[in-house]
Amino acid sequence: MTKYKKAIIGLGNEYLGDDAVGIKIIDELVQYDFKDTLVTKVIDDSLKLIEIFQAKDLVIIIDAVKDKVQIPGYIYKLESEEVFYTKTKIPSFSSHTLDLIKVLELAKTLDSLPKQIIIYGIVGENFKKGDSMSEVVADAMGVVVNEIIKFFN
Amino acid sequence: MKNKSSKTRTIKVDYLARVEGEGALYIKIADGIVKDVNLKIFEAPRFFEALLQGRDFTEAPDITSRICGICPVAYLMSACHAMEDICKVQIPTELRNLRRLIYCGEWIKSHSLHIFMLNLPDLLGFDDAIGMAQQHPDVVKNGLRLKKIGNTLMELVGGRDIHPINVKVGGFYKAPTASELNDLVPELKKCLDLAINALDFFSKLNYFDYEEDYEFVALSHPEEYPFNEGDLISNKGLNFNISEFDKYFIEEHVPHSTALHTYLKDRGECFVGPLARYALNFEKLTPKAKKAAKKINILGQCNNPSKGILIRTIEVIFALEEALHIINSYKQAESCILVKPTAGVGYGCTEAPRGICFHKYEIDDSGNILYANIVPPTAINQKTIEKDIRNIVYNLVKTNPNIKDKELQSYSEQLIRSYDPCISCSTHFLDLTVDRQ
Repeated sequence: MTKYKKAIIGLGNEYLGDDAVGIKIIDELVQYDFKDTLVTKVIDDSLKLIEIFQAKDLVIIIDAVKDKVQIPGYIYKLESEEVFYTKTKIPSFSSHTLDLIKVLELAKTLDSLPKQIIIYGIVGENFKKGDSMSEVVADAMGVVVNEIIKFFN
Repeated sequence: MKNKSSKTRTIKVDYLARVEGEGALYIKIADGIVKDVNLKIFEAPRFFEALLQGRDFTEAPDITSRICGICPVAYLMSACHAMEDICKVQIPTELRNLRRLIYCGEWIKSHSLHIFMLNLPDLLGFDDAIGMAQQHPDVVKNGLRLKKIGNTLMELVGGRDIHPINVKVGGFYKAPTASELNDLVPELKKCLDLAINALDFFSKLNYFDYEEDYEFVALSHPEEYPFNEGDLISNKGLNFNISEFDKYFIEEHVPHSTALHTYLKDRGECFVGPLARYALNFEKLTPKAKKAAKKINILGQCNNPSKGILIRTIEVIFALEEALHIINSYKQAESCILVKPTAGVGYGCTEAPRGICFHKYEIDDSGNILYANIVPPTAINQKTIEKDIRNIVYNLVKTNPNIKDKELQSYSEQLIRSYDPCISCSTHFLDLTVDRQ
């Protein structure tokens, strides 16, 4: 895990409707050979992110967002410190045990953040158990996949 | 949280923080006396036992491991043992040791998460691990490092750390090489030192002054601190084979909980988990774990649930030492044995981090599951947690009838957290209501 300098991490639960988006984006991205980059999923155990951050220059995190401000399918893109300043705007970033922003705050307190961090938060509309991803989120998924591929190329 | 009148108080905790799953607490106080305490578990029931019916016997470990993301190994192991019990197969020593090794990983991971992230902020007076990390960064870093070695063990033996996929009835799909395991030795040794130092730090903290004459129930094995095998024993004289579980335990639906309440027939509530295992198996701890326990002067039985953090840390020391011992003698062998289905009923009972996890299955001669029953540890501890909250709230209100609801809530939450309840597993967490009349 520490042998890579970069990481792309998808968070979520593939059985909770739109919460699957981070996981499904990783399913797409594993097909590409991004140099020196760990492409992985984090399911349930969000504290594992701090383990992955170790010795990383760049980390991209993709997660679903529950949001009352933007419409489903909207893509938040936050970079480094911006993550912490915008948390009031994004009240609930994820459905996991310890929410993503809290894990990032903990990592920051422990001086364990990667040098650069980019977060894609895709606003979902349906997080019901057993449901499939909604169409608008599937469309947004394609946009994020293409943007990440372009970024690495 | 609200007061109805000066005589009637209703404390309502609508969501319990820093526990696994979703639940709530309702406390009713009338004329200064605690009348009712309900630990409400409202996480949706998931009907695992029903969906197992008609599935192949080999699918039970993977299906049931999905019950919990924190202790999937417990479900994998109990299901495997139950199926092997039905099919009358014996697992070779090397595979048995690998099963103990993956269980070491789960205990280290689960206990470290609870100790450092969920329980310790209470004892140090912080709202959460983030606040605690500002003043005690090294403590939190060490906790995360311990958790990581647990994850790594689970990944290596189980294929991945969340819901491992390498475990099967009869053994494993693939056995790790000795070299892969030996690579973990330096970090396991370092983590062993960190855990011993952490125990020393925790022993100097202040704990609730509360003790109860519990009936502790745990597995007991003649030679080992229990993970996978043994008879069920208690500190009050019980000693029975796991196949007699139904004879001794009663499962009951209660209106306020989606989890069944499980208790001992004619005896009432009991206590499972680290305190129980420790009380009943102290002599079988590994040398460094025993030495560390002696240093902080907790020899055998501990009747104070808030000191659970100390016992969990001793169990982390044990699990690290046991992992080193297993790796040291490990020789890679066949990854599994063939298990052919035979019609019958079988039982599996293993020690999840939070206590005994019991499985019972009936299969036909084609291997189809006809019946399944799963009893997770939190279902057994629920009644004891309620009784402890009743006692603690009673004492607090008796000492100070005007005690603020917020204070009652804080004490109750801390007590509940000290049990490390896994609501996700037992649903089958906290929202507090105090009803003062």
